[in-house]
Amino acid sequence: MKLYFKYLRAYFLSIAQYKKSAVLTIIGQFFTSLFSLIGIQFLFSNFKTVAGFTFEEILLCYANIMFSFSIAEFFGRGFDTFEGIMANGQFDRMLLRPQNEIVQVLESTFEISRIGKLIQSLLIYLLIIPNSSIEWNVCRLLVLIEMLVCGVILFISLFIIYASFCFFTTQGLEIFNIFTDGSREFGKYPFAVYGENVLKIFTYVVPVACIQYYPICFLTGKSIHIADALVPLVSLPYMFLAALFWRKGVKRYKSTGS
Amino acid sequence: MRTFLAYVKIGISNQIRYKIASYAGIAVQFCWAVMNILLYRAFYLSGTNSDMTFSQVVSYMWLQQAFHSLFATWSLDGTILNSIMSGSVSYELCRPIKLYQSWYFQSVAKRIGKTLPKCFPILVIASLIPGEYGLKWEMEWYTVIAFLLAMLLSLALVSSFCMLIYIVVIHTISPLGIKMIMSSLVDFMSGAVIPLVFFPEWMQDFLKFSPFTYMQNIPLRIFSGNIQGTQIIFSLFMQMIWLFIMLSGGKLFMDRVLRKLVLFGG
Repeated sequence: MKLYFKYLRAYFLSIAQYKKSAVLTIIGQFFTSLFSLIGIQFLFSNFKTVAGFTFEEILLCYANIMFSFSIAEFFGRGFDTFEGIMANGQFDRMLLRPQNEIVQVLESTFEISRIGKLIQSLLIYLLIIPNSSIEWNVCRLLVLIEMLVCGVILFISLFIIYASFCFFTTQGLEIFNIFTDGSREFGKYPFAVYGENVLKIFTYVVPVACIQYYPICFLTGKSIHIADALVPLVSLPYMFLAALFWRKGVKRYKSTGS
Repeated sequence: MRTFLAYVKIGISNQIRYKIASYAGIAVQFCWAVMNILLYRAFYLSGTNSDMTFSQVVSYMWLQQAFHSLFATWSLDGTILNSIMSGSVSYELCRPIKLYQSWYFQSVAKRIGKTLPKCFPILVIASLIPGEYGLKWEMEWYTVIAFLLAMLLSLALVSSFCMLIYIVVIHTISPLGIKMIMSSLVDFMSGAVIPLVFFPEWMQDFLKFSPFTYMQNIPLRIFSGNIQGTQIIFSLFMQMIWLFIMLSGGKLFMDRVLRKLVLFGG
């Protein structure tokens, strides 16, 4: 753990060397997502509601996904770029070191530019939490925090699964992007919006709906089942599944030989 | 013309070489279209929009994904950017073809090469889907001609716009900042995030005077039947005007930049 913070510090020091470029990428990320936010606003000025959700509820969902995904990307960037780590033989070196490989991949790189998205989701929270129709109490606030933390865990698990596929194919599977980038892109709206079948896929295959649709129903008072509030916790066993899959991959791994 | 054809050939064969990657690309694009259509269906179930019908939105989304790489404003040519940053642009200046033409053909060809293998599978599958989610081919012969013409003009316009970005990059050397901010802004204003029809009235009116409305927006809406009659003729006319402005402006600007260009030896 101590070592992990050392790596984190080293990353920030290296960023500090190129301040201007870091700031530019952060601003760039901020604007990219700002435009998709404006897009949602325009759609709502045309249609008012979508599948029973108001604009504020969608904003809450949007901010949640963006918050969790950008934190997950910041820390889990190593898995996102794992293809490269494996191809250039860096992974072989990691296996030789007396430390867990998952931790080492996590340490290998971070992604500062995602802070732009993080700032944006914090701004949205500032805007909607005081003004929305949701009555906030300690219980609901706890559910919100649970959603965010479990969201980060879930997305990092997805990155790990994505990286584990590399052991079997040596190349990244672009198809899996449908679930990683796709859940960020389309997770801006609760998955129930896309209909029954899509909701099922995003509940049972990649449980992204568990950190947005169900708990949001609880937060907005659409559902009073306590189960809906606790369902984000499935990301914990999901993480174990991801780690198991990773183990299996590492066992199979024969160096790429370069 | 012959150089152009040669560039297109290279572009396509480059793309076909990575077969699996291009299948994956098709699958991703296909899912994107499906998800977008389902999203808009949810919106249309909770309200109506008089400017665009749902079936028009469906066609718009299918075509947008099928021709994704053809009209993407953010996809700048990596080799061109590299040649600017590494200085190998000097070799190209020695060639007996003008830099503007050479880059322009190269980027148009690359777009066509990326799109051709992808668009047909998506279009075929989308047309086979029955019911309201399928791609509908309901066009008169003259809209077909207008659609094809608008496609060509949009492609030419988008590429000429990207040329402007390359020229600015020659000027500033570092592409990072301008690339990031321009690409997301232009993406938004050309209707890649949501169709321009859903923009507020004042913004649509404002954008009518910009070149961005005349990029992917026009051919997609002609196909889906959202623009008709004299509006089509007007849009095609505006596309041509903007293309002319972009091309001549770009050439002038480039001559100017090249005259001042200082290459660092090495």
